[in-house]
Amino acid sequence: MKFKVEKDELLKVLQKVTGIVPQRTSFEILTSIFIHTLENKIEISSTDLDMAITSSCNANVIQKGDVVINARRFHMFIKEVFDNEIEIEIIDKEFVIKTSNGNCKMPISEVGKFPQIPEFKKPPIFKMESSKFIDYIDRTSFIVSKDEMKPSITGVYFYIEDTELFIIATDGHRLVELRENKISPTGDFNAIIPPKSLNHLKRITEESSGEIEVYFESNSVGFRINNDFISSKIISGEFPKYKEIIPKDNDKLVLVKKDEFLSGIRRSSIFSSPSNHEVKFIFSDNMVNLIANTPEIGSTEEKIEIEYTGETLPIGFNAREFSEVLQRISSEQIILKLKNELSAALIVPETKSEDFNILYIMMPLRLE
Amino acid sequence: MKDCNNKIIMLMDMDAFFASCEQQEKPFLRGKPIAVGGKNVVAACSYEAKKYGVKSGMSTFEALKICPDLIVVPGDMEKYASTSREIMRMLPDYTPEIEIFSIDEAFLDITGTIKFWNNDPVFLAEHLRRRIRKRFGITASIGISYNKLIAKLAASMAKPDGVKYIEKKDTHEILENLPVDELSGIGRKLKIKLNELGIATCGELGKFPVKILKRLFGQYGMILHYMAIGEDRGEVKELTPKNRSIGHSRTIPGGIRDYNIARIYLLRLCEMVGRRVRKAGFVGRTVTLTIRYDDFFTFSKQKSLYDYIDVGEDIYKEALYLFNRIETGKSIRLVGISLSGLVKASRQITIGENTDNIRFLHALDSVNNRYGEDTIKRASFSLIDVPVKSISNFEKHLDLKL
Repeated sequence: MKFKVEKDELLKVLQKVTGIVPQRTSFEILTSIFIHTLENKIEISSTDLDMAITSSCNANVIQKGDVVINARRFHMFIKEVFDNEIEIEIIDKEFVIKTSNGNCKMPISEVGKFPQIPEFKKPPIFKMESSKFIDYIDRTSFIVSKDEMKPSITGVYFYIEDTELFIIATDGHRLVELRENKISPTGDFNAIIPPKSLNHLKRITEESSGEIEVYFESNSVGFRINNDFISSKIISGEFPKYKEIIPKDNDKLVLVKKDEFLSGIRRSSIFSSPSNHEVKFIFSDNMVNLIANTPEIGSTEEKIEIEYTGETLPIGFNAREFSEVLQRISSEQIILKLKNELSAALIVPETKSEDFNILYIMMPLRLE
Repeated sequence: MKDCNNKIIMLMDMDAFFASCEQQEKPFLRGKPIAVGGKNVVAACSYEAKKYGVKSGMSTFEALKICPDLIVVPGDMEKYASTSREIMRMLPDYTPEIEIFSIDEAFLDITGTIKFWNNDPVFLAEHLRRRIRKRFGITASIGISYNKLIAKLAASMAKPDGVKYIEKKDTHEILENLPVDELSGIGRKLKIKLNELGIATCGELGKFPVKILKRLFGQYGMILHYMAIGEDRGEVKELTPKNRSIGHSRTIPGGIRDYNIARIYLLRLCEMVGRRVRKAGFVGRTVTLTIRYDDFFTFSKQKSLYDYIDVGEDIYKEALYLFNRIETGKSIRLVGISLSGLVKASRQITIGENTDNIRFLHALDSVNNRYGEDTIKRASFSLIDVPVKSISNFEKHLDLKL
């Protein structure tokens, strides 16, 4: 194996793939990367067994071959190299990096020991503008449960019904449903994807533009964007039947300016209890009072104008979680649909996006 | 590990607290044998009654047989609790390191403050006792020693109305011939069990091979060994919500082999715990199940949850998970449940939770707050209808100030 590659190109690839290389692992091989050469191209892969990333760049491939070497040291060394072009060759079963300052030699691991990277034989299920897809992940993946006793809600649930894509996430007391019907699916799609995989996807996609292709086969999903391919295991189990719990009879409608409301909630949150960030919202005629009171921290009470007529409703929410939801709604005004102090609140943007529909559900805190 | 055996620890223990409160409030009861409790069981009794052999935990019927003059007064927990709170409020004048151990007992670590009291623990103790007597007209006994265990022993030796200081150098001699059940933590049944092994005194228990104790009693065997040689790892620690737990345990008379009945006990305890947790305004997320078999083998199992809980049924769900994983068949003599990892907060309602249940529980709590615990309870609890060892289980008097 022998190839020449531009340092910056190689570095970009290494930055993407080494992100998932585990720091500590009982499988030594996982601390390595797999380099594979093609015509005028090299492909580098890494995996932590839950997900895998393959990224490629142009190279002058002189002699083809595969190699497995330590990820971290290779990455660190390349970062410190001054040359624009680097030559790499396997000589006497050693990985040799040739630079103008001298040569570096690294031992190689057996190629056969590197875990198989999942391959997808079927065509992509759907394609979408990558920035749009990342935006959808942003609006949903922050609501997932960390409760290992309920694995099926520790991931973001994607599924397609007819030509509509649904993205659902819940942490047990909040829920988000995002729907987009401008896709043309080629098959079934039904997967609970770990947030870790989505976050990595987001990280390596942020700088790229173009289309993302989504692949799905039995127990894994794959995402291709330009020269990068990410595959991930999906979480087994069935996502709870969430549709029944989306409230339909919440008849107390509140219209409020998002930014004003959000900053009010954030201010109140500072004086809420650190354990549950409890803020009491009292909705009354065209006014909401936000009250937080924690003896050793301080207290705050403020009024915000809203559009609401009806009976006074005091209801408690976790202010931090509430603001996390609000900041992900792009509309200038939001609509809150409430029922009573113990039932789910529905939060939707006042002006709908052209691309998607979104709704959030927040469960209240039980006030004494 | 912190050195817990070279301190000056005091245990303040109110003498016959419930009975004393009643006698103080109703002068005609003074000097007479009285019992506080209900129709079925004696919860506490005065020293006058103790002379006849009346003991707490005895059935009222039995107590009246051995002491026909016994006056049985219904208990008033609110009154005892508020008196207790007032007494406990005096303690910070002596040291900041206080552990309120029960309604009528508190440990004080006076190691750091004794220099302000002529380096004389007895002087300090007498000062506190005098104040309590003057203010409330009731007496307290105080035991002083180098750790909690021996301070507790000293307090029992000081009773009634006295102070006892056991210095470390004298401990060995005192323990050598002390019957094992004089130590706090060794009860009647355990004493019998130890006696069967030829152990009657702490001296003998201290010399008994630790390995065998561990095999017989699990981790508690190790503790027994240390107790017998007068060592205690316990620190005087203030019960902040973080390290505090709310729990109930129940000794089942005669032991129980029917695990379905044991599950009812478990549910009962869980609901009591949930009730107290809610009353105190806490939510918690670690459930601990303690089981003691008839052979005194005792162990605990814990489960930590992601969400905070405060409802008996939710506690029961986790307790049951733990319970269903224990060895079956052995006769159980004690079941305990506690909830820890407490924080003062409102509970987060979860998606799909039945709001009717929340309202129902709220209504139930209101009724039980107004008319006393167990005014409304589960029908299944009648199957285990023996008084639960809890400060809240006195006979109920409906307050008809409607």
